Amino acid sequence: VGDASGNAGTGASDAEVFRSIYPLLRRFAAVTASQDVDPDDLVQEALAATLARGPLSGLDHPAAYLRRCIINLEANHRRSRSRARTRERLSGIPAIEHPIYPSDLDDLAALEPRQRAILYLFEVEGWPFARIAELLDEDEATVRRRATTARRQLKLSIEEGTSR
Amino acid sequence: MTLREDLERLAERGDPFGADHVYAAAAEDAKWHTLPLQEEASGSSPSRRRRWAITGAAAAIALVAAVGIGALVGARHERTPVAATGTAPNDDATVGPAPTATSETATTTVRTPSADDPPVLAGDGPYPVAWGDKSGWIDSADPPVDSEGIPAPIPVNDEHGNQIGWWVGQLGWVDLETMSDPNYDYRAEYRELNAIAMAAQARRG
Repeated sequence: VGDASGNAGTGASDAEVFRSIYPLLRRFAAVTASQDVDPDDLVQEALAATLARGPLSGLDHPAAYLRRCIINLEANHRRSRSRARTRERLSGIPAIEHPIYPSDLDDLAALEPRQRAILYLFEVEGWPFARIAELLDEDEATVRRRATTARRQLKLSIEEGTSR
Repeated sequence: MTLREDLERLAERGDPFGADHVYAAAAEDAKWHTLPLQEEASGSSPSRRRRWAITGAAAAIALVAAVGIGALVGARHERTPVAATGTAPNDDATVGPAPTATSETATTTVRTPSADDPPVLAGDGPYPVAWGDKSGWIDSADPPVDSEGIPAPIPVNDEHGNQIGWWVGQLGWVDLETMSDPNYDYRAEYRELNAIAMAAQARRG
């Protein structure tokens, strides 16, 4: 147990580590999470699970570790209402409503979370498939296949949308 | 609009709460998960059940991951309980693929998750649960809660569908005999554990 047990020194250090990686984690969660899941909920859940194990400063690659937590947690599709309440109480800001997105984003949302994560890391962050495979603990061929399947699904949805 | 632009828009969705708020809330959640034994209000040694409830909080986190991964494994017809989760850092099912790997070696009927799998939906069980040296299955991962926010107990079944225990959120596994004991009240234990956590949090400031 690291910072979660109340070690102030470690806590300050961990807060700084988290602050530096929060923007990229939040963006990753926003892409990976289902539309009915608040990306911050997912980031918070992954961070809480990690802090319960030990301090962030004890990890070689905290961003990669948390990203992997995020994608595994998203597979659960579990809304974290209690965490939203905790944050609401701490910040005084009410939990956000989940907006409705335009249809082109709906096509993306229809993909599996892992597919979205792969496309995002490849297309936006420019990761090679080998690095994505390492993050997801899959082999490179599987990641490439997932990306191909995702593109095929997107193409199909767009074509169907155009023909309607 | 290109795929990259769509992904960028998706990445920017919602209003970020900010790193400090998210960190503070996560740290509070983590305190609950890692409540130490010495925070017990009484001087007596905690019961085995409660000790499990406290020290096994990490297993509850693992359950959350196991729920999704286990459902993806898709062993609907030939149920195979997942082995108990350990405490080594690399055992965290939130991160590692252990539940899937365990199930794959347990039976030849289990298939590997693929990109073509449908999304996993809450309530679409059965899900594997593990607690200490016990393991079983629950049919719902999203139990109803009462007006106090206390989750209802969920039956835990073995691979043959026979009930072997109860699962209560935060408390974890409750034995059949414990639950049927007229002197045992899971709501009271839930409230007590919650009070201990709150008191510990208050002491830490």
